[in-house]
Amino acid sequence: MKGHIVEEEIALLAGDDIEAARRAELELHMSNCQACTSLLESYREDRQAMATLRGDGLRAADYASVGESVLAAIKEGIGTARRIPAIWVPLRWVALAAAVLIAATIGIWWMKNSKPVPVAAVPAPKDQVRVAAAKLPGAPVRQEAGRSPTALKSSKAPDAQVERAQVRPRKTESETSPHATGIVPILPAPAERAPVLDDVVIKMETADPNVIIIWLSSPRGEGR
Amino acid sequence: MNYGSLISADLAEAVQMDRDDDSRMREGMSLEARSLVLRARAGDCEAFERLMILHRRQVLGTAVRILHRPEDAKDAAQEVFLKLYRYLPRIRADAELRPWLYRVTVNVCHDMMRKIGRFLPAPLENHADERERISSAEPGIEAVLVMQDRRRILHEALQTLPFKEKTALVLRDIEGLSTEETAHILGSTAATVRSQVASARIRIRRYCDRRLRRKK
Repeated sequence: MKGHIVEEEIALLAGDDIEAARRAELELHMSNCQACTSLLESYREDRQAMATLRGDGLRAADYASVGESVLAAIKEGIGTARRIPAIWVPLRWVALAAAVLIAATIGIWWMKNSKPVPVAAVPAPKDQVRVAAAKLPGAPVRQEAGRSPTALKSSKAPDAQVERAQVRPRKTESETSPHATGIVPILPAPAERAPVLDDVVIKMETADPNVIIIWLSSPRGEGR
Repeated sequence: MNYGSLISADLAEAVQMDRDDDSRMREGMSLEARSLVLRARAGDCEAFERLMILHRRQVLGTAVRILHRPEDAKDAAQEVFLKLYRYLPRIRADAELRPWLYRVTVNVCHDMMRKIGRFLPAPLENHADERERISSAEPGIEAVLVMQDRRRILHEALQTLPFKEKTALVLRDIEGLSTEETAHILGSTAATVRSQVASARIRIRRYCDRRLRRKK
């Protein structure tokens, strides 16, 4: 080996922290190199002196005081984890069961008493609603083409078998109540309800060609 | 053992004997510690006290080398033993307590150093007065004083090291653990520990050289 050993290797050699093969090489070099040998010696002295530092600066009273302070802290409950009182261990299962029972009762009550959610209708502009009334197959129909729903409503047919239907256009948002849901009320006027009505299908086309509202009406009551 | 009065020829032998005693004691302690852990876990306060006595030198000695001040080291040791008490139910009965305690000590010291920050090293004792007193009273005591000077300088040099290098050196050279044990405690690899220890030894050597040159 030419030159000197890297100092890091000498530092490792001082503590026997080097592989055996490399150690043999280094020792061979040091047998001819006084500088490396004396450096290794000084590292070994440092290491020996370092080992004597163990426990240096501490007295017996220091050790004793640590033990006393730890025991005092444990007695005061400092540093220990908060433990659940033993009485709560079985009771917490009772509390959990009660909570589940209450939740189930509330759920069942809510399911029984809840009203069905109203189906939202597609809002259509007032002037674009077209109503087409058609008699079901087999039922007599008299429909006057080109008349508005209002005209249909007011027509006085000599025949008793006249279907009457009224479709009221949806009110604008300002006309409805603050809680309006946008549902179009489609009700015949009670006063002008026909005494006898056959099965009627009212088909409402909206501005959206994909949305068609169909109302099926089946008569019943005294006139039947 | 008090190494202060030994001259350098006896030092190596004394350190080796101390380490042999330590390893024998460790084996006995390990068995005793396991039964003490079981008893302490069952609520036996005396068993826990005995556990502390068995390990207080290890914990407090390591803490004082890392933190430098005995007061801080005592606080750290107290924290370590409180953690031991808190974690007793989780410690396996067949597990070694010593590595666990070393690891907790290092972690607690690291937390404390972050809290208190870096500080200037304070002398362990008044060496100048002692040197004056001994040299005037006893002839040929110079070797002892040289040794004491060296230890004091080493003690100061330790405080100049970065935390990781210092911890590795304390465990490896002062506590006498193997490289593998040190790596296990620090959660590192043996190669990393070797590198840290070599770097720390070089720094200490250079610090000592500077101090001794200044004295001359």
